[in-house]
Amino acid sequence: MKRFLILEDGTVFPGQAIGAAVNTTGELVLYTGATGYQEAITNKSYTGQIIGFTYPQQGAVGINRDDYETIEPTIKGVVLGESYQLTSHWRAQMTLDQFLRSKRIPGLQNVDTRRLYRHLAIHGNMKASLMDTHDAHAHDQIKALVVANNQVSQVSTKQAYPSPNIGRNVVVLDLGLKNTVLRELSKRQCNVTVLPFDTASETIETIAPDGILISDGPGDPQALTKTITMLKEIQGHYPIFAIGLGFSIMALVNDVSVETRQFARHSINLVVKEKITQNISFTAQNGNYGLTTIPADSNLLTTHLAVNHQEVLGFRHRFLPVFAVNFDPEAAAGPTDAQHLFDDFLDLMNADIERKQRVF
Amino acid sequence: MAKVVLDKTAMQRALTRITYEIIEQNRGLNDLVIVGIKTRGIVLAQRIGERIAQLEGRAIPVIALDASDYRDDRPADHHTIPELPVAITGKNVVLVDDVLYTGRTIRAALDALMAVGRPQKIALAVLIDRGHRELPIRPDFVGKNIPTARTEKIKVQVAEIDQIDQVVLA
Repeated sequence: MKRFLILEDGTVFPGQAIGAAVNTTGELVLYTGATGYQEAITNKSYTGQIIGFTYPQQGAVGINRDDYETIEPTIKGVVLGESYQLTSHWRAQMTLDQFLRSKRIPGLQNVDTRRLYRHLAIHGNMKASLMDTHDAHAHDQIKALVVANNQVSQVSTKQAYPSPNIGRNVVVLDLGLKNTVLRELSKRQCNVTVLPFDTASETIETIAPDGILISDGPGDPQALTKTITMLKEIQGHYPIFAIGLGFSIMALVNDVSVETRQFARHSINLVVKEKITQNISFTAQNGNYGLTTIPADSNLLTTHLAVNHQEVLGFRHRFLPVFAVNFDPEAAAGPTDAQHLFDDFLDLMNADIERKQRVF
Repeated sequence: MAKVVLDKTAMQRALTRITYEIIEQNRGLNDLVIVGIKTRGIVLAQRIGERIAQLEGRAIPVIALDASDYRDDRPADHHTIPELPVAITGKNVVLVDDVLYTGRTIRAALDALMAVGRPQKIALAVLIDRGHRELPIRPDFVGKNIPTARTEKIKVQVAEIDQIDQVVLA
């Protein structure tokens, strides 16, 4: 069956329908990683977005039980070069197409994704729709679409829940949490309480955690005013580790403004340099917001930089136990170069506890 | 049997964290002087100095201190006052050593420093704290606490001297 990708500027990419037979609209972003489609599709950071995969073939190893980042994906659609109709992997439970159908996600294949890439590289990310027809009505519809900025409230947990273990007490502020973040904390025996994004500071004070992790998530950080106000009260009282959207939030908490990131920052092989050691890591990134510089008079100290373009990808508070990165150290999908940041978070908590014990 | 308790990566991470903590505790860094206690303390002090320079884009004075003359198992009547290339009076000194054990080396280093000048403040950074203090001395920045028996030996090895970065418990 034919289906069309219609961009906000009127450009149409015809292709063949896969996945669910529904029409959809959302912001189109391009994912340039060769692998990791299952993780990307189930990553809540892509809530409300249509993901275009630039790597020509997707779905070779199907969908398996281990690589979900959430149970119910929240993306609006996928655009592919070609999807495999057969999978050959011992872990595969179903094909990508079957999965998309079961989750009511529409898809489009046989699209020239290189042309799509070049188009967006020139014109930037834009709104798009997947439609069965591309008449004037469909074009008007996409133009009129207002992209929501309440994605976090859609995907954050509605109620607090525990992920019990026997180690450090950690609060995870869920802005669109990935399973692998919990897995990494669990590996380090952290006793986790996951809290909704709009939790009040009193609730956190009652839990009195050893540290707080602010997760990655979708949408515009500037819309999360309640979370920012709460963190302004909390900052300095507990060690904080922030990832992705959490990075932007912590920048705003410290009065550093964020901006929309340049095109093509959704991948698993983006190069980051740790300033202090000059070590290079390959990282997964998917955020739409970030920082190009940190003002010199700010309390934030730049710790990580992008290698291939000018961008700040990590900072630390100069005087308080707070650090943040605008990439995914949990690496799902992606290289595990930066997983040591979870160990750094534990070290930060341990050092904080030791410091509090020897005040004199 | 010798056991590696800190490998190269863990050592790097420990030094990185100590550096961030030093920045956290020393507003402005203007009066900061890093003093390494010979031999491996000097190497670690230089590495911390390099890290601060990478982050802040400016050099912090790093100096070497040989306090062996002030040790309490040496005669107390003829100390040679160390010659330091930087004035330490009024400065915030961070003393760096590889292993903190009885505290006697640090006591000697403090005496040597005091003989030279009058710092505003002296803090202590060590890569390893192995316990068994015999003097009332405590570190401000610790890479790793490793509880040991007195019969055990902790050896910090650095690439500059030992061709390898690791900490070994024997």
